[in-house]
Amino acid sequence: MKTQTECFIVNPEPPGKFNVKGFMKKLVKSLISICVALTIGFQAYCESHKVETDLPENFNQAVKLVVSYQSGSSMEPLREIEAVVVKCKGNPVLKNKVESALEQIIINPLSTIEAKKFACQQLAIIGAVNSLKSLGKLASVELTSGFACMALVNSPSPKAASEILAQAYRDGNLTAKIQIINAIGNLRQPTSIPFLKQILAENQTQIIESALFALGKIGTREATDAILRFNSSKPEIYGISVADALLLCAEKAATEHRREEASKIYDIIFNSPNCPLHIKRAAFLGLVKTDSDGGILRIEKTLIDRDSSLKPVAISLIPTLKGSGISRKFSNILPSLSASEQALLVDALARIGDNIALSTIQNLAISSIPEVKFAAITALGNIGNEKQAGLLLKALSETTSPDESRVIETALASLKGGEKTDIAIAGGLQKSTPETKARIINVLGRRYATTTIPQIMREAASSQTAVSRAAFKVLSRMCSDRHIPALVDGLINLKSSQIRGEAENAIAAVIERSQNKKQCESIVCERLTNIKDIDAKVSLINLLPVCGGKKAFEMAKLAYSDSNSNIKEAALRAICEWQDISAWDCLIKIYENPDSDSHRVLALRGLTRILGEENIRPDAELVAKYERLIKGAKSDSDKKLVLGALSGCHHPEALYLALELVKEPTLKSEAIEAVKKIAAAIQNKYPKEASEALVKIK
Amino acid sequence: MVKSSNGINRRQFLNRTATIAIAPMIVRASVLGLNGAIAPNERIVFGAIGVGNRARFILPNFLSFKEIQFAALSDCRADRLKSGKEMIDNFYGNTDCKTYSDFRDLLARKDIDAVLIATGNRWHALASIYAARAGKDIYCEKPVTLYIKEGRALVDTCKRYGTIYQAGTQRRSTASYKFAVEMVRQGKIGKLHTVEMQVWTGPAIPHQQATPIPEGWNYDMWLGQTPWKPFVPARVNNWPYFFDTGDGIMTDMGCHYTDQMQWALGTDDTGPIEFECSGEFPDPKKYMSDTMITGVGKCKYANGVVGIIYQRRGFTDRYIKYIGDEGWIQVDDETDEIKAHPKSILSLKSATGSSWANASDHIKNLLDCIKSRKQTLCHPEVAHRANTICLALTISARLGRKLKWDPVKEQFDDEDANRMLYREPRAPWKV
Repeated sequence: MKTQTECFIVNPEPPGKFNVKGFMKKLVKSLISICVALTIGFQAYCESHKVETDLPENFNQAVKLVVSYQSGSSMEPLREIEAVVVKCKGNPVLKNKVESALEQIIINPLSTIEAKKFACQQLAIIGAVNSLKSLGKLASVELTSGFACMALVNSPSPKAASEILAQAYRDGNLTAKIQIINAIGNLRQPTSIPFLKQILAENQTQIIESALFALGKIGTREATDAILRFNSSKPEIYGISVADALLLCAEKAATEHRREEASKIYDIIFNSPNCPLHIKRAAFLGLVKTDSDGGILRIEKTLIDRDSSLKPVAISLIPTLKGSGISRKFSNILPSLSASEQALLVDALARIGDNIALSTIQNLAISSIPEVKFAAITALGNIGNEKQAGLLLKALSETTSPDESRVIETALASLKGGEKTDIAIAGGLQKSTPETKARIINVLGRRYATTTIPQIMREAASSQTAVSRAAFKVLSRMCSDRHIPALVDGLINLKSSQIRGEAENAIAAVIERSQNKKQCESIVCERLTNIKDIDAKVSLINLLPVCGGKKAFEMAKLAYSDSNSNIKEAALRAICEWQDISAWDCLIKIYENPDSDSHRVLALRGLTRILGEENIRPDAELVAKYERLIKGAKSDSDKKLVLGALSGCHHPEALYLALELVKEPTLKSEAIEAVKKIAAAIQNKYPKEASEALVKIK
Repeated sequence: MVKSSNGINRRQFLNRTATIAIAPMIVRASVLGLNGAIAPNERIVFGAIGVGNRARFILPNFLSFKEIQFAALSDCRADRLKSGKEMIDNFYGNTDCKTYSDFRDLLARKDIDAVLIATGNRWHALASIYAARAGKDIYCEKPVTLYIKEGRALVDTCKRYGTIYQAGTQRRSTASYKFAVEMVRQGKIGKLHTVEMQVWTGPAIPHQQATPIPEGWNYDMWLGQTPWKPFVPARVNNWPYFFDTGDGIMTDMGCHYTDQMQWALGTDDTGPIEFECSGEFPDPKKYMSDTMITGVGKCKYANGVVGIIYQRRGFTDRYIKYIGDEGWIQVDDETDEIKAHPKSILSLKSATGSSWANASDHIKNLLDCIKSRKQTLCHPEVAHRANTICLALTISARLGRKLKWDPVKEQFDDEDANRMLYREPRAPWKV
């Protein structure tokens, strides 16, 4: 029994009597039916998916306006057309209509150059098919040739576009001809080769150069032969152009796995007489790529060769070579090279990074040639680990050259191996001179070697200024909350008074980062209560504003009543630096009833800073504080200081206060500036007040 | 010891702002003791192509290297050539610097080893390609190309000739940015899922009619490969905001940050797989500029990481922020300040280096590579891939649709978008 499908495909004609006429009739009928069905289907699809196949109502009007478009006039019609162009995707009906309209623009004798440019750019986006002939005509005219080629090169029919361009060539001037040849090259059609070969017989240099380049872009065997034949018969002035074109051909051959052919072309270029270095280098790179051994022998030969011009590029390729024994092979060649070549080879070996390379580099780290030695040390840093730390530490302790020291420090900082390497490097602290110790500490800092913090803490207590300084600098970055007690103790017991400020800064940086300021406050206050040493007390007072908090503030206030002038002054500075307005009451008392004028000035600075920071919340109360400062001022410079901060207070009351000061002749200019600033800032919110104030200062 | 509300004490703040505000200035070579301090065979002879504002900003960084000798300049404007020559001659205390209105004449000089290309964006890749073909090594300002296929041509050309090329995305050599990338790579913010970038709001340039070409301008050379159009002063002076000559702020500045994103993700030889961008374009009735004013561009990598570029707010608000599942790290470009959560990340930062305004480390990397023939930090592939992200986003914005991208084939899933990968250069220029 036959299935329904099998029945359907059974030929009703008896076997052996195939009716050609009937079949053709049916075929044509079927094709028509398919076409009708497709058209109906597409229309149905368009309707169901709301695909717009009609041009918008304003489109024709936009086209008319574009015809006369030139710079300076509205670009609205251009944008309207662009909006339709982007809708053409997957909509052949609409695309045809748009292409036709754009073609009308380019063939219209009234169209401006800018209109034609626009139309061509749009055709380049939708892909010109039906307008190729019109574009061809445009391509032969110098001014429009560029636009036309822009559209032609993007055509979905590259072969047809190439043919159109070849036809347009006849009518063009020199520039248009060059444009056309370049476009033909970019279309990369082998069918254009005969045309380009003809052009090679012409006698204008620029045209011939363009044709050579176009042939290079096509890059087939036939194109290569054409270039080579031309090369054998033409003068040397085309040497570079021929080489450029042949390089393109060789590249294409290599990409298409025609390796022998590519190699042959590269060889011709490489061995051509008077070949400039960069062309030779290009051919060399090509040859290495096409060599069956990946270029190993060629690079080796280049390094042994007398000619040193290609040695750097050859060395740069070594890390890319594949196969065993590469490091050994080139390590053996190394001694025969110049110092700078050795340095380059060291870097190349480091990039291979195997044991042989490492061994060669280690040996060179003690080379008597500085260039080679530096390169080897740098390389060790890049590929070494804890095992190389000892060698580098030894070099660091022995060197007297600052340059060499810098190179070694960087190498130590770069060594891999994590904590193991950190510990190995910190081990160098034990027997080193102070100078080397400082350098090792720097290295540990660069490595962010937190496991070595205890050792660095010990060095921070050193009586050697350089060592202690380096240690605090590093600790400031690496320490966290848990190290604060030890750091504060280190500050109290500091042996080198010269670095007290730096030690304070270091601890302040750690406190600043701390997530637990309360604990910091507690530690600093507790130590401050229990110590006697004046310098240490001053240091701890300096840390109080960084800690912040009520307890710290009370300690600062208490210290201000101390009989020791150093402690008193430190306390005042600490209060002046306090981070919030809680210091206001204390400072205003000092300002209004100072022990000395210098204390009054310090307090004023602190107060204006606090108010300046409070300017983010401007209100009448804040302005009243400014007023109080003005009242307590003893000089114009005091008032100017207050005015400076007041100008950032964006409130009408601040404006009035500044206006009052305009009346004082010695403050007039600063007060006017302040009024202007405040008025500008509050203008939107308080337009009346602002404009009135500005009138008053006119 | 007092710290300001953002954790910087006032003294540090003043030091920092001073560093940022001071523009590089040129001090005579003799004052720096550079004259004759280097053997002639160690010297790298440079030529500058384009001596406008950017070149003047970065030249002092170049001149601070004793091994660099600037011997020639090229520009299509006579006034710039003249003042550029004065600047170089004044530095060396002689009148040796030669000037060329056509950079091809400069490239033809055999004694020039390398070039600094600081032209308008439309010239970056093309001048680089011509320089590579002439055997010169290159430092080229960003964005490195105007369209994606030009970028690929740049990469191929430099590979072909073994050219040493450094793109001017100097944040790869900037301590703050390096640190942020390092933290991301070390997993300090957990698994990275989003990279947020912000560039500033672009301008809208009002319509203006064409005028005669001013004396001393080689306008044809100025246009270069871009389609011919008449000389309109406001258009010429604001070239970054016109599609033909620039690609707007999204690309002009965005490429600095996409470069960082690519670096952090380790995707220097590839890129995202999806792009979507939308934004506000200038009103065509009033304005002639045709690049985005504000916008948002999103790209997505195969591993799910999303990059978002915001084009909004002011010039000083630019930043890059890496967001992971355990924290974030941000670099503010204007101040070079790093912010992070958790804050403990910040303690890992070592001594501060130069900000982006000082490109000396970036130039040093180029010089080292010229000698060793090794790849630079921002070699063409790196620069092209980072730039591709911005260019692809602006293509998406122009077409008004989301685009899928194959980073291996460097093709979209959209024919129209693929046609926007290339713009045939105006003759005689060819890529």
